[in-house]
Amino acid sequence: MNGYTGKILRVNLTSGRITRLDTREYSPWGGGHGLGSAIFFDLVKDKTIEGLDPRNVITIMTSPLTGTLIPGAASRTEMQGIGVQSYPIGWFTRSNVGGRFGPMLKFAGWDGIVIEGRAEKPVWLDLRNDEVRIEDARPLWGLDTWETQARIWKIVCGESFGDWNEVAGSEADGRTTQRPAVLAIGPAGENLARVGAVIHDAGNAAGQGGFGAVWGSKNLKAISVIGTGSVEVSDPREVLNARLWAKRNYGLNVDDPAALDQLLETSVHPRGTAVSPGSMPAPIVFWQWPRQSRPQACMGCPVGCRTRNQSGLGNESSCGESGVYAMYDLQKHSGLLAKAMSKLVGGMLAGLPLDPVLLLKGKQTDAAFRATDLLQKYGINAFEFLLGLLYLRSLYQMKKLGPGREIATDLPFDKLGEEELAEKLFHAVAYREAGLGDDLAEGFYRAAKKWGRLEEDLNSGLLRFAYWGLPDHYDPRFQLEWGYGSILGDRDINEHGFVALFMIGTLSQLLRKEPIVTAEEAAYLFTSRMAPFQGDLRMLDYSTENMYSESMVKLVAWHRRYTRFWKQSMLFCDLLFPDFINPAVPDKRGMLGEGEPRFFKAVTGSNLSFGDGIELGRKIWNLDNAIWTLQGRHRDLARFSPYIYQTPFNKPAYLPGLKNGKWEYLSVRGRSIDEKKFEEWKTRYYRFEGWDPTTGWPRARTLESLGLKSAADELKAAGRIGREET
Amino acid sequence: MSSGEDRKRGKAGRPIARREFLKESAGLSVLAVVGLSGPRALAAKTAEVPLAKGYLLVDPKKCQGCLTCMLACSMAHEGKENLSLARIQVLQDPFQGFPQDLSMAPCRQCADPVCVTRCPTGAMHADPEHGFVRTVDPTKCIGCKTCVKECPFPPSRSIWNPQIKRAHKCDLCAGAKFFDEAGGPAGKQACREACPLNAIALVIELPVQEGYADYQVNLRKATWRSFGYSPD
Amino acid sequence: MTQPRGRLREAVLANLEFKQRLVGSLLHPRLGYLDIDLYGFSEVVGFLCKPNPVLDLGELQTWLFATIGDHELAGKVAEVDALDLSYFEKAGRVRDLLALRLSQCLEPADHEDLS
Repeated sequence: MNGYTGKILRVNLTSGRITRLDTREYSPWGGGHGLGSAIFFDLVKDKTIEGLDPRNVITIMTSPLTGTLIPGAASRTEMQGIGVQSYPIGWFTRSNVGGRFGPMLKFAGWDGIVIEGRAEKPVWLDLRNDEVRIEDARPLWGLDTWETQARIWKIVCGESFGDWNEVAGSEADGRTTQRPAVLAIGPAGENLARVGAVIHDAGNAAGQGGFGAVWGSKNLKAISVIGTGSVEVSDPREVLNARLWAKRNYGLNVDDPAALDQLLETSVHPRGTAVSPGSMPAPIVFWQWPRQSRPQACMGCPVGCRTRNQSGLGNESSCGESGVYAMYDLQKHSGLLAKAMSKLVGGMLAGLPLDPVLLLKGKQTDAAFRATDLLQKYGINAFEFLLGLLYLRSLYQMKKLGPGREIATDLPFDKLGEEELAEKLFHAVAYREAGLGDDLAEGFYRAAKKWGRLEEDLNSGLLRFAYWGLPDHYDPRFQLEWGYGSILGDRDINEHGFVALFMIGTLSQLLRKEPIVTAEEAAYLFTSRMAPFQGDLRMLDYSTENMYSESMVKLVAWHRRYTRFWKQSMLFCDLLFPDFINPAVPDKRGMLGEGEPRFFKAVTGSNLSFGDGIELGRKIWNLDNAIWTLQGRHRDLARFSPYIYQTPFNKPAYLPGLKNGKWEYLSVRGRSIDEKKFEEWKTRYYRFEGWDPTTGWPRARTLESLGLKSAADELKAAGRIGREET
Repeated sequence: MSSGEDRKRGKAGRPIARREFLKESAGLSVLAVVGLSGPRALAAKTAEVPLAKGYLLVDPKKCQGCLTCMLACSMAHEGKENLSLARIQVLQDPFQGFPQDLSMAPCRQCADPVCVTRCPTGAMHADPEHGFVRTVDPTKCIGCKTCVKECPFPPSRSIWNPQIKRAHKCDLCAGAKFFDEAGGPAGKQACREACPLNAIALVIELPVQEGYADYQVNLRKATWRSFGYSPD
Repeated sequence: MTQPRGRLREAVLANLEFKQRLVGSLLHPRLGYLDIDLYGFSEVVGFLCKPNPVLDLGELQTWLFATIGDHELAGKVAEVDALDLSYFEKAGRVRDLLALRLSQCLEPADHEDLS
């Protein structure tokens, strides 16, 4: 027994045919993303189709570790297929969702789901163990994602929760206390909004790529799964022991004041800067959360990163989702501030023995939570709106957007920060109401293009969409591996493995506190474990002198490989792994490199080493690049938006680097990416990968050496194979 | 989701019969207020079943709903992951407000265990070798599900295992074959060891049993406030 | 600081145009930067009340001097900026200065209405 259930569900929505794939045929790819890419490659004959084409195939894959005790690896599900959000080409792309869908799929006996075709009328999939039904979703069509899930729970389990419910299927007499795990789209996906997301429970989303619209185009409203079966592993004792080992050695003892003090003393910031299994179970959110709440974690995760709140508002949302509206809410509801601005009342502060700062702080209302909940319910990609709302507010203030203006809209932008605007705006987007809503349903990049503003606003950086028409995240001008990895790929990589360096460097400077590790220690701590490139310290040199170097090639290559296998195929959570720096460990050395293969072996019985996993990641990365090449990728397309080249990054940012032969956290403020030098760096990168630097296309020799002959053949047939070096 | 009200209306809707008080033990300084199973069982059988020497207490307000306890329980006992076979159950509704969004259902090792007294074959018994923990002798279990049906606390803490057509329940890991630690009331429990937030505790005296709340205690320490949550 | 009157007081309480705005960024220790546009003096104060507000103090001085016309306050901020303190300590002192200035600009008459 090795963690796999052995079968993958294959559903053709056009024919209604339900079949199985044998997982063993694809298990050399590991799981998750590797499986998905390999299956996609085999099943989609014409890779140049658009995302909304019925021939597009969606894969929803788990890993052998899914549903097990392995920390941070139990919960996640990888979704792939041709997306509709990126520009100019909707790349074959990925999104990843936590919660409990993946493990429930495993407990129902499935390693993954493959969706093909397009249903004639709206449908949802009802999986109860190995019983699979394609159900009529017309009664669900139009419902938001939360209503949809609640309705499906009742359909599957009846009214009663709180007791054991019997579940049909192969597990005769199987029963569960759990609710079915449901992935659902909302009105945004139904209406083919490119910003449509797939939502699970309250706050888990496969947001990137526009998979909501892809589901909508297939008339697929939801997939529900309830399972009562088992995930069997190679070495049960070792799985349990490995989990307890991780808790003892790499987890924070949450009850121990001394452990917390030690963490706080040695952390640059009280909330901790590292992304690690040793982090505090404090929510990672921008908004103020109520104290009457609990941390809430995905299945099997040691560190809950979001909350469920007394009001039930804002449940399970975190990260960017929590920042979409919170600041506007605060600005709008800064109480006294607002009153002072309107000059209706004032003078409260003058002459009173009150702390003006205390009074001016303002108070967040429910609007911040409700706005985010609306995004989750409508099934809208919150990250587009995190930067998108900033853009809309600018256009409003510039008097370009508003009633009777260039971008005409009656939406009450003077009520930004109030629930009313959020409700009207997100409704307009989800239902593609004529005008602004319909424009924004296409995503902010396409909207700006339609408004004739794209060039100007990408030059100035007013529209901060850095790559492939997608929102900037950790800016490429300072977080190099993030930017480079994104432009070499298909999306905002959203991989946080190296951002602790920026956090530690920047916060230690701004707070004048000792960093949790020095820049030199960080260089050793990180690079010593970056097989197969160990020992090249300059992989961590983020200085401007080094940003186009061969070492930076290796950093990016390592990151692409690590994430493709360990993170996206084995499905370790991005917020816990790679555990480079762990705040709960006295010497801060996290479990990276030691944990992953130990966990993998316990579950699968395989002796795959950490480095073997990196190499398998290289194979998967090559296959993905072959698919993008077939879609029309050329190196000339891999360019950042102009502002990345033309305008300096204008905020404090300190990262490790060498200055006069010494390591320090260097300021990289004020730098931009030099386009010519970046093109040269790309050449270096393509050569390093064994691809053709003139086109960026993979070479047959490289693909074949990785066991990807069929990909090489398909590229040859398409006339898009890289030229061999002469 | 079973709210407190639902539970009162459930099949365990019986009045509270007696009170006992928790003594501080095993380093745990808490006062537990817990419900007790019904008078019918008490009248007939209490004297015949010795008290267990270990009880799991849980803090549903501290629980983060990760279900690690369930995964650990299943792995320790069954050697595989299966939520349905876990002897501790955590139930959640992601759309509910805190704390109604979650409940924890550990076996209470009842003072008057209906599962034991009603078992027609003596399979469900108080194990004298392991501190009288209430557990199933699979060689005697005939799969009649009486214990599953009679457990007064929904969801039933006697758990039906459809794979072997037998019942099983929490034995405080006394018989956890895949757990390297010694289990039982005097030992360790996989759920408690694995819980990332220490939201499960063990006491060796019968907890105070009053009202209907499950074996709930406040296990949130002073550090809880540092994470941004109310310890009260 | 001297009691502001007339145009200065109006400038402190005014809503600003797009080109007059300041851009602040909250630095979340685990999430990175969250940008927010600040369309007035009071929004700057409110922003500085948040955890880890990052605002270029040099830009702020220029903005106070040129956009708001508060030369005295710009000078005070410059004094704070020159101190041998961490950025966040400086930001805290600047916040207090701006909050005081804002409170000075509120009408004493209105003050009585609230009692």
